[in-house]
Amino acid sequence: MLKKFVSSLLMITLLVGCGSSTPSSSTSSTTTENTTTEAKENDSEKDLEKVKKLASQIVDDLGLQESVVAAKDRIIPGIFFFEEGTVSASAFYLADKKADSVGVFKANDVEACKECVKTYLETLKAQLQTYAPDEIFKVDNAIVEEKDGLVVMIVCDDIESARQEANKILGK
Amino acid sequence: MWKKVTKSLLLISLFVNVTPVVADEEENEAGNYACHVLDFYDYYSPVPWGEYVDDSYYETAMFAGDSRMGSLYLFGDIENGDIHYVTSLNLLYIDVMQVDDREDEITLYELLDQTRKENVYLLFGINEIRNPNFVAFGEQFQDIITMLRTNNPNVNIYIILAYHPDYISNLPEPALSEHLLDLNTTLIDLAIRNHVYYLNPDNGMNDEEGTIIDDYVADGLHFTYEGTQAFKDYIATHVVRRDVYVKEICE
Repeated sequence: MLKKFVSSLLMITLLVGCGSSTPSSSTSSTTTENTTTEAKENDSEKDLEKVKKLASQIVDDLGLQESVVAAKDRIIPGIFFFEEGTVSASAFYLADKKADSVGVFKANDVEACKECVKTYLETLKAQLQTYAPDEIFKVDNAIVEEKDGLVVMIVCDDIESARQEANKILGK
Repeated sequence: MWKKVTKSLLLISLFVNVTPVVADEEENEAGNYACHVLDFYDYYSPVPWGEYVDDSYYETAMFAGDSRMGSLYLFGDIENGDIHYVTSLNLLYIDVMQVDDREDEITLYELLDQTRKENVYLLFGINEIRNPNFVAFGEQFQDIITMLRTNNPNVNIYIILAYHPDYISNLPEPALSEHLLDLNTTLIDLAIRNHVYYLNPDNGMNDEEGTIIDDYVADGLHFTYEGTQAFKDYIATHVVRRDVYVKEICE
């Protein structure tokens, strides 16, 4: 009895699987979709490579190598972007128990991206008020610049150098 | 006979809304009977009150968390306690931020990876409380649970929910309560999905306003000596005795 039931279930599963096979008329549209998806993935990879290179350059130019480390890609949305689709690529460097941080983001929505960066800075400031008030001046003077969909955030103690660096990176 | 016992236990479990988990299954050499290890613990509920465990229990446990766990380290009077904390810890930075009060620059992630303690207590989330959601936090927490389980399949993991502080800067009520609910829901969901235990200090450490008892905290959040002793008592009276819930049934 149980065997028959299991066999029937398997048959139904197989039939459903067969029914979902793509007819030949829709093959070309599927191929086009795949090509578009691949192109988008290539663009995203290029964007990611670019923002990582720029962020690394900022860290080097400002001499922050000793104080910050690169964050893993997968954690960045949980720090800045709680809604999907705000950015297409991001790179972020952070410090342990200090405010120092560098972020470079390729924004799909520049205003939303800048708003997320602003929220991050406000949250960081609120935490520093309890744990490291001496670091708050860096957050108050954080550099957030944008050009052509690229948003740069720098938090460090050399504010003027940070501003010049952000402008240089963005070609302003 | 054993069939009857099994059926009775299953029936009881249905009445108390507990689905027994088949923890293990084996057959004897002759293949005459099968033994099932059934876990009747209710992972949907916080760990219930139990008999006070003595200080030797702490030798079997590791405690890891943010600055709230620091109170247990500083004021817990636990000799040889394996207690570690990171001030201002964001869980997403757990493999970057160094553990407080140590010289070796080790991270909490590394300590959790190294531990083979039988019981591991985790207290995270208060520094992420201003987040609009806890999706990334939950994913990171899941990774830690998976790592602990991979390293030691028999580990008892206790997730400690966030108690309701009196005050969090830049997060006034009712937003604070809403965020706490979201955080604790994420933590409870992790406990249920992974079959790990969770403690809810709000059950017993709160005042009539639903926030942590005033004398227990110095700044609305971090425990005083008195608060730490109450927290320690709470832990000591909320230990799961596996032998009560896990039964081997052979038929």
